[in-house]
Amino acid sequence: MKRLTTKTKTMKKLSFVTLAFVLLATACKKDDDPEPMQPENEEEVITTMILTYIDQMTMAQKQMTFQDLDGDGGNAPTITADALDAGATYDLTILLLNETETPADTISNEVADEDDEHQFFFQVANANLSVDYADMDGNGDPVGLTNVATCGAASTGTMTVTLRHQPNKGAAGVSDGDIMNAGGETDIEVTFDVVVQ
Amino acid sequence: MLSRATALLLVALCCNAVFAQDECLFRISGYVLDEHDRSPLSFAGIVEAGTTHGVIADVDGRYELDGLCPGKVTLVVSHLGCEPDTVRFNVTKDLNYNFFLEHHHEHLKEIQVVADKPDQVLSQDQHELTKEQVDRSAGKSVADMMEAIPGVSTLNTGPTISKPVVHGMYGNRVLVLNNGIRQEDQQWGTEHAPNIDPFGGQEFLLIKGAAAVQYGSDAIGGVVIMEPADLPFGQKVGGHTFLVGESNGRGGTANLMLQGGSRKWKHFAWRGTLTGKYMGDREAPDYVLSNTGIRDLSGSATLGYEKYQWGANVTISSLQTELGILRAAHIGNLTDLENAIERGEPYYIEPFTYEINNPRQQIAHTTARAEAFYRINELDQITALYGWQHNQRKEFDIRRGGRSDRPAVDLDLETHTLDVTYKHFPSKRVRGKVGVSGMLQYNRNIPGTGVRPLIPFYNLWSVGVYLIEQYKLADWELEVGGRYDTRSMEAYKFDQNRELVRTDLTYNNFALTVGGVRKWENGSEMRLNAGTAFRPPNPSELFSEGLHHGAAGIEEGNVDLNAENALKITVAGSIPLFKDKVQLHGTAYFNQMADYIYLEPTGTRLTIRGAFPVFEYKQTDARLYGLDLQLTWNITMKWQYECKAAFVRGWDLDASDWLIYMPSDRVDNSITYTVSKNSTWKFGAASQFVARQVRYPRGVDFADPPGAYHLVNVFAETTIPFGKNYLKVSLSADNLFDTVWRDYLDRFRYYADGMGRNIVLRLKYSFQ
Repeated sequence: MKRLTTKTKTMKKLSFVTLAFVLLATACKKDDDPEPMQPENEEEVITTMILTYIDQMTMAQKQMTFQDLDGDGGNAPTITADALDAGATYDLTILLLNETETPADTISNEVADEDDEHQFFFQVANANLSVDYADMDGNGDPVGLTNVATCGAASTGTMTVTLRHQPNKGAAGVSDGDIMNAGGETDIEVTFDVVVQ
Repeated sequence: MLSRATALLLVALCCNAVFAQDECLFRISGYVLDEHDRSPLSFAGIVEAGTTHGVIADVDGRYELDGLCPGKVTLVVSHLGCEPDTVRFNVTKDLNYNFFLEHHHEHLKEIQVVADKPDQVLSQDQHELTKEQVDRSAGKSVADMMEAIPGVSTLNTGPTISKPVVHGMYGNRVLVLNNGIRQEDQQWGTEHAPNIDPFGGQEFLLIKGAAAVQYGSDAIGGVVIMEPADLPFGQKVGGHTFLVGESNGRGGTANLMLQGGSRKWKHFAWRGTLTGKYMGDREAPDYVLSNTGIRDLSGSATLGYEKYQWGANVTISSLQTELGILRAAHIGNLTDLENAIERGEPYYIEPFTYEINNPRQQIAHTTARAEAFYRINELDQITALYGWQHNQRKEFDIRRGGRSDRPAVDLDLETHTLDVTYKHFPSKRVRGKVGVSGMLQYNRNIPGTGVRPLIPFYNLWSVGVYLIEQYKLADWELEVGGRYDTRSMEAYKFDQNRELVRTDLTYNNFALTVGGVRKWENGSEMRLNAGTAFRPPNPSELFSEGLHHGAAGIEEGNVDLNAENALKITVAGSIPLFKDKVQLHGTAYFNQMADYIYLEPTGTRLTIRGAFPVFEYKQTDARLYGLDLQLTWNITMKWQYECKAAFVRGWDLDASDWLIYMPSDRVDNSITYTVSKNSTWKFGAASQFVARQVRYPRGVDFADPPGAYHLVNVFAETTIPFGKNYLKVSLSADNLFDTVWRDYLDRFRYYADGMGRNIVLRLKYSFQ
């Protein structure tokens, strides 16, 4: 009988503890910051790349663009490319933007500020187009924000523009635009259709 | 009856008594109680049979017998007016044992075992690291230590991050219990290792079955339990210090543990630990693994008060870690990954340095715990354990525009847990446990990262109740238990249009366990268990959205995921053969999983970084099954051979294909030579063979599984006594032949080889 009483008592104690805990669990919500206030600004997003070609003779302007306004996911990016003129020589400059912010953030300025840690590469397939660097960083290595693009005879093909962060610019062939030994990690890799006519 | 109870204790506590000889440094402690009314038997005598080595229990019936040699020890306990009792122990570590003496002169009575710690699920297969194994792995991570147990492997992200894999399950599917508290430290991805200082534990136990009933959600594959030793009530100040030096990484680990009680304040005891680790770049056989250094600093303080009737203790511990992530594994897109795989050798190989650069992780984990027990009567006991954990994780990436000093991931996770357990012994044959556990958890994203957070801001609470009862029959002991859990989560996330979206999720789950243990007189035993377990999807599975840097894939979470449910059946048996010269232990398991969550490749997506494969979190039904074997052969007094093997198979039932990232078959052989019975010198060699994984889904992974490898490790050790103190010196070489290898379960196998030869010197000085 004595044992039974002890047991009942114990069960009472136990149910009290359970109740106390359930109350604690439901009542004790952290209310100092019930929900987040501000969305995080995605600062390193590159939504837009614009390649501007200015004909050295006629000053005529052509563009190739990549634009993905909502960043990765959501809507698919739009890619456009003007046809280039056979035999023409262009000054080719690259503009990078983050258009999720207003006004748009010019990411190419960040690349220019850290030019020793960045390099563009241009891999042309089939088309008669060649791109040569026309700028250099503090160490005399190319960057690729400013270039000279030379078109040959009429042709079609593709050009892949790659931006590498922290490449090894001293590796064999890298300063000549060969991506093979560059290493680093890729910040941009966009392929444009190229028409030379 | 007596032998069965003893055997139960033996097997429960020492499934893998691997090494035959060690120094006589073990302790058995506990209470001597009257079997009828459970009152303490003051001043009972406990003597090692056939010797004069003994001790007298104190007024509360508490005793502590030190200086026990490993192996079979017989203790005789006697008290005025009682029948003396004899109990045989197989000592492989410090034990906690309560004697129950019969005041009346009747037949030799049954002994009831009160196994206070670790709390056991009787019918589950369990393995504990021996004291020797713990000492020999000083300086390693918890996951690497547990690899000594057959059926355990590790999932690595380079040399600095490793997670335990139990029977093919890892991450959130393996529960880690640190000093009684579920470790809650942002195990969102494979690159998040448990933040635990292994020097804070002395007992490392693995439960191989589904153990959700006792431990709650996530215990689908198994439970890793780390416990400190009992506090040294009534003893002088003592402790130990470890110094570990490693050639690979050119650094080391130092640890100091001090503890003591007091003769005057005999109800009080305390312990403090301090651990520091400083390692530079690890090295593969042919090159430096650049940016794989690690720094750890951790400490803990415990104060305990204990009487027979009640007791309480509080612990505060803190761990700070900074670790480098292999620089060559930092990639931007799929082309980079393909280039790295094709190249075979990392792009970034710099000279050795201690410096840690980006990418790196900085983690702080602080735990405060308070525990109290109260004995309602001599056997029934109620325990309450409260834990507070605060985990701060900062991940630094290589970034543009001077942002590298700002963390790209900055998470703050706070968890409160409360567990109330009532252990009861309603009759001589029945004992059990009923408990309530609750958890409150808050995750906060610290603003200012400039990166959209992967893990949302969330508040979570969960409550579970469980009951588990054990019933003793003549040859069997049976066990049955059930649990109900409810978990609610409110998560807030800004969508692509910068609008706040609130998601409310609730999961309710039942878990059951049934099982039994059968013992034979010759020491054979068999454990059968069928248990269910569940795991609600974790926030990364629910809310991931976007590029997983380093994994070269876009991961899409799914808020409609259900909780995973597992039914795991384990059959474990051990048989002594050839007059106990050979011990054979085997575990067979079958784990049927409903709604197993995995990443399925569903297409590609074009981004400005190029095209990426898209992986979506999906659910399927899966089946995991396998076999662990362990054979120990005491060839002579001096030579001992051991073989361990593990085989896991994972099958996707919906897709009729193998599951990805299952550990490949492995066989370990080792031989140990003890110079003589009077010498503490010991030499050993071990070979570890890991087969190539041939069972994997084709065309999903970026690269085929790497080839088989075979590593050889050797060691030599001795113990030098200084009175009551001793110095243990060991020298070992891991990967002795500097073999080039890559493991399938190393996420950085795409980029670099595994670690080359590592010569490790370990010194342990134990003093009192």
